[in-house]
Amino acid sequence: MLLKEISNIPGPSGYEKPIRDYLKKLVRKNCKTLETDALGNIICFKPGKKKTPRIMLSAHMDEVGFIVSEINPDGFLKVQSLGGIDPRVVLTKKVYFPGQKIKGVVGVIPIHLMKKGDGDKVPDWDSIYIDIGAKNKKDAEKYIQLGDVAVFDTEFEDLGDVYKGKSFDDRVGCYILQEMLKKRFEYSIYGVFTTQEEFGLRGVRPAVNKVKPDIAINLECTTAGDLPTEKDLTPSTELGKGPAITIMDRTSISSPKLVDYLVKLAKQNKIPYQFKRTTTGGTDAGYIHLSRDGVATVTISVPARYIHSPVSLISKSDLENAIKLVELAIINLDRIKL
Amino acid sequence: MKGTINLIKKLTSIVGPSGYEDEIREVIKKEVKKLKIKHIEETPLGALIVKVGSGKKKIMLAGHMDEIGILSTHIDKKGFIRFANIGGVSKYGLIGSRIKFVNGVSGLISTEPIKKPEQFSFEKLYIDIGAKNKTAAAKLVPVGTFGVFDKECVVLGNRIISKAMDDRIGCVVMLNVLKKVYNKKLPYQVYFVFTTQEEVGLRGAKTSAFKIDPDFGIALDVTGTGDTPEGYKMAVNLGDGVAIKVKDRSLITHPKLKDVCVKLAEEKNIKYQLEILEWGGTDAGAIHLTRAGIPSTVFSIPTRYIHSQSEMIDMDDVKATEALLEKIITTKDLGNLKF
Repeated sequence: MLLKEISNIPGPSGYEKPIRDYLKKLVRKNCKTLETDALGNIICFKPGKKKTPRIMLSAHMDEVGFIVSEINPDGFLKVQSLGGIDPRVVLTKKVYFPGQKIKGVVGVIPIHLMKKGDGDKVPDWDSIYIDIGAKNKKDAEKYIQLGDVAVFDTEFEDLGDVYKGKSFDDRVGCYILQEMLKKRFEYSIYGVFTTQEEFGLRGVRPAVNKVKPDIAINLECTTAGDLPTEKDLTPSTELGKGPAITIMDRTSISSPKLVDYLVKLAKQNKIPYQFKRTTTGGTDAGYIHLSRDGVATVTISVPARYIHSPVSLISKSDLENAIKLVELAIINLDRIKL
Repeated sequence: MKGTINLIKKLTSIVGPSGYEDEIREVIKKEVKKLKIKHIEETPLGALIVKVGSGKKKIMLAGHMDEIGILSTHIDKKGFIRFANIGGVSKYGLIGSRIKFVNGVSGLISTEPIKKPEQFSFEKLYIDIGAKNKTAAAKLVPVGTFGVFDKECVVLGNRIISKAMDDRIGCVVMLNVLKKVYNKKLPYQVYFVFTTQEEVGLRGAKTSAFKIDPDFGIALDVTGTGDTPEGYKMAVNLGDGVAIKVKDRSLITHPKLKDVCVKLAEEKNIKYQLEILEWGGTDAGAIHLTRAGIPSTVFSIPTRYIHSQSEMIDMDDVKATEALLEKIITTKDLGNLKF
């Protein structure tokens, strides 16, 4: 399963080189042109018979991670998060510094040494540190410098109906995008693997200005809210109910025409789908649709439980159905009147 | 005057939340088409661009068609609908409100029982569309359906209250001025742009401004007033004339541009006031940051109770705004400005 490699490879925001190099090698043979821009985005072009409309598929390569901000005298590393990470999920997790090939763990006070009230506290970034087994600051500095970056060290696993792994947000989108680049379409496709999405939707901005698309489909991984909570009136999305179509989030309202188009395609072809039912969060679509004189844009996501944590779960069937839906969306483009 | 009131009634009655401006755009397009103007186009984000006049420099006028609203996000077993806000919707004043969805279905907002005021939150609210159960409700209002407040326009003497006065009144001002100037020789290319998605982040104006690449931008939008009991300290009053924007959260008007507006208002004895709005922004905020930067301002129509279901305007202010807008696009002062 290719998603295993694509999700295991490190690439936190701003430091996407390992995943970029891997993806470039993977997709180059399927593209007529492939370039890397100043922000590290990969922009590929796969021509078809039809030159218009210009369709862009995008997915972000970067994942959430850590950056070392201080090395204390005992050799512990203080870090800040790259992208939104809840400090509660990092305690005792294994991390990996890809540039230095060093592993570490996020330390925590063991239960035996906890003081009264410690258990009620929610950790903040000031109290979190990475332990690489260094004796002291000098020893640590042999391996790690300020500004070095780390990601969660989680191995991909096939758990039957679901996949487990890190960085499904948004390596799942990257997986779908590279699958699309393998296929032959009548329409010309621009495939864009973006950077720094988790740090403010940054890479996509120059990339979309360069591509100048008429239609954009952004491929994402979104929060599944189908957890056993006491009262959850709006599960954002649910695992196994099909790819999620975004109607509105904090950064964009999807083109109503594209939403209708996808819904019709899904119904006609009996592909399960769902809407993303919360309006929070943002994606690269926020900048794609506002590029130049505007771009008809929609986001299709695979729902994942526990995103932005060391482990996420996605449903195999959601991934397969997302691929089917995106493929159909490209094949039938002539049905859209923008 | 009667024609303007009828137009206000017509435009405010239409359902047009951000992103779903098709209906209001068609109505405005029909008004424009009566004038047999050739240059009419739409942007990918649904803004309507109407161009008149000739001349080297381009002025972009922007009034937003969209209004604040709600979006259905979840339907429970009994058919009650939970919803998210579109734009700045305050939870206060929602209980008992009527809602109209873009597909024509009506409903009302109510709340789970609240024992203490501090328990009240947006999450407690739901919409009842009179459906028996989830299946019946989902047929009428599927998850993802946009809606707006359902409140009619009422004339109170010289003042008018309605939902969506923000910013259908700006659209009315633009249409009225367009009707006056479209067959005159104008010193500029004037782009009347009826924008979209202003309430969710000035989005339609941003892409329209990129497309047009104008020399100047003027937004026509509502602004708050400081004249209500214990109101905000703000030197704008209902009925005191068009408010020339000095500053808000999204824009500082270029001093030279502001001075020209003031000069023109004084020359023509147009009632005006200077506006400093401490919160909020308008399409001019997006326009002035386009490409290499575009000197922009706002002619604001003072409005009480903005983002409530009854936004109040004064017809004298509407007239003053129209007068100043007509003046600035028909005289050469603006074009002679050097920055």
